[in-house]
Amino acid sequence: MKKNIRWAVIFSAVVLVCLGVIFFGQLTADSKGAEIYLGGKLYKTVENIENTQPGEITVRTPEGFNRICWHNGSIWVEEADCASLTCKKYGKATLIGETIVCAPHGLVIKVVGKTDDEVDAMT
Amino acid sequence: MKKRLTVQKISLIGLLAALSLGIYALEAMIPVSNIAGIKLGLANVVTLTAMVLLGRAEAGFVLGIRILLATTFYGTFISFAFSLCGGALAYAVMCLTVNRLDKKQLWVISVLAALAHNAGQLCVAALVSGTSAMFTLTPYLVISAVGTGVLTGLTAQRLYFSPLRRFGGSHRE
Ligand SMILES: [Zn+2]
Repeated sequence: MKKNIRWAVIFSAVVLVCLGVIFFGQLTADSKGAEIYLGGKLYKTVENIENTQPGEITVRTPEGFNRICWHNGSIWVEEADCASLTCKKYGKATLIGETIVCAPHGLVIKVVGKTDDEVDAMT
Repeated sequence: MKKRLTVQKISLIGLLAALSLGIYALEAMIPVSNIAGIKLGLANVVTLTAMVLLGRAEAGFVLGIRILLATTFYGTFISFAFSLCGGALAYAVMCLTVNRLDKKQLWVISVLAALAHNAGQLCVAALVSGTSAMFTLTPYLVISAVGTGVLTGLTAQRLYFSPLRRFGGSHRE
């Protein structure tokens, strides 16, 4: 019983630390953007996915395509022609650090936090 | 320790392998269980149950049969790599910890195995895509591993302290 409690405390602490990391990540960002990687390289950066105007991009590879859409702080794969469709089934990625992977196409979409400084520097 | 493969043992291996394949198939249908193609690893409950009921080698058999059949039925090379790395790492952790912890701590073994399972799959995702971009998923995956690990571990614990145990023979007692 004692051992059970000790392990429960350890695992709870680990979960709390992870929750802290996630929350801190969300709070320190001023806005959300996204990075799209293709074949291991950064392919495109979407500066802001929080626009009320929806945006989209179609990524084509020799293996196939993915149509990626973003709107209101989420980004998702709307359409793709990979076999498993894991990327499409994932649904919307909303939290900073969330990642959608389309392994057959070597595509990775990641939600990233942007601070105002970065945005200012860009403009 | 002398290992004897009795009919009872063989049928239990078959039963568990079929069960784990069923769980694997079921899991594939839950859309929410996929983070970057990473599975929750619910089928690990069977690997763990097999290990405590039958032994390490038999659990390896059960795992091998499941991965082989799952790949034949639903498989692509990538899903095979995901299953193999996740399953094998979880199996390795179970092998290392199964005799060090009490049977009342099966849930702890299960959480550690789930962490290894997710770590293995994360590495496959990184290798396949050629970026380390998805390592920001780590805190999400750790939480998911602790959650599913506790769930599957308590299930395995329940199975271990059930009449099913009789069929495993006098393993390590
Ligand atoms: Zn895909």
